[in-house]
Amino acid sequence: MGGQACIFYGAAEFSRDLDLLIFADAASLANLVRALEALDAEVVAVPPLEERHLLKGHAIHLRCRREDVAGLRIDLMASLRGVAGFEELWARRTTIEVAGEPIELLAMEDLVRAKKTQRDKDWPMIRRLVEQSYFGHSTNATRELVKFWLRELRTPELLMEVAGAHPELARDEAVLRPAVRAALSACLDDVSETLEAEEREERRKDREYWAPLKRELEEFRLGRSRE
Amino acid sequence: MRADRQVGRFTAVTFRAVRKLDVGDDLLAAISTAAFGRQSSSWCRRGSVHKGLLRIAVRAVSASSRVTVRYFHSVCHISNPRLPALAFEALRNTIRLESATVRIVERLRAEEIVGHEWAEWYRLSPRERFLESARLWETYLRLGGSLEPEPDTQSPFFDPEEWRENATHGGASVHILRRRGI
Repeated sequence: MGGQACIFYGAAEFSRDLDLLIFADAASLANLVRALEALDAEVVAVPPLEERHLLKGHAIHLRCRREDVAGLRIDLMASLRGVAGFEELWARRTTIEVAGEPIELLAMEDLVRAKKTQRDKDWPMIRRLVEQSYFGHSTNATRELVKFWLRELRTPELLMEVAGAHPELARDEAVLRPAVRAALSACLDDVSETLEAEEREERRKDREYWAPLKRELEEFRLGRSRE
Repeated sequence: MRADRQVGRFTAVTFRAVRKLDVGDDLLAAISTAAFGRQSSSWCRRGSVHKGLLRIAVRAVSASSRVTVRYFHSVCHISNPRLPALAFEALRNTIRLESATVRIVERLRAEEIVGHEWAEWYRLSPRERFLESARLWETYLRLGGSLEPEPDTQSPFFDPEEWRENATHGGASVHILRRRGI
């Protein structure tokens, strides 16, 4: 769901770890544990690999020790803030083939939503992902795609361009997104300001979401250091 | 369908030298002032209707007749249909140019928003992007790059203790032979 998905959809990231979103039920976890054993992977941080932690929203961090993948970090998660549940994500996933093996990727719209975090580095990534979608399809856009751009574009000039080209859809989206409202009134400064405000708000929500989980992580760490 | 419209062409009489065409701010300010009587980065007025984008191409010639051709594309959303003409006048009056064309375009190109490098990357297919990325990886690993992620201090998972415990210190293939400064 991380760097490789970004590369597939058009952004670029030099990611050194592997981020996996998993379905955290007992059977799935049993399969996962077998796969991790085959990679000689061990948990390198709190919390331990347990279903309850995954379901709560924590990430599990592992490092592989098998010779051909020695040092590779794997992060596991079962839920992401602001993103649909696993079944829904799975239903609209993208499947690609790499070296004869199928790889399942988050759909572009889900990847964009998942990237709306408190971290600086995720925001340029969102911008790149949606820009690529726009430049790659702007001449043959479906209605759904136009709605996606209106919802997610973070490039003021392009948002204005899309709003100008599709005013009716833009008026619908403007009810929900102030940046589209500003784009319809053709003021670049206002579009930029509303996009910045949007980012600040998402970062705030992400910090708020993580606050109790971070406290719990601190408790795990304290517990570990006492052992 | 593009709706480019060349508004004017102007040949200047004299040239002192090619100004360093760091025209970005100067030119935008001049055009903005000419168009609206004030400087604005967005050249827009509240409540106005979006019409298109402004693109300017500039060619400048030096006094010694050594021809220097540079192009400057300025992309901005315009709301005033007279803006291309006003922009052209501003160009003529503020920067001595051999020629300038001002156009309204319907659709932005990737280069105009993100530059050539990113535009090229966007044009690659997913497969090509994977291959390019794999090539970068090979170089990185050959140079002894570590698989350990860099400290992600903004991540909610970040734990400086855990990062220090798990961090590796460089790879075996790269050795510093000389280093100056800090």
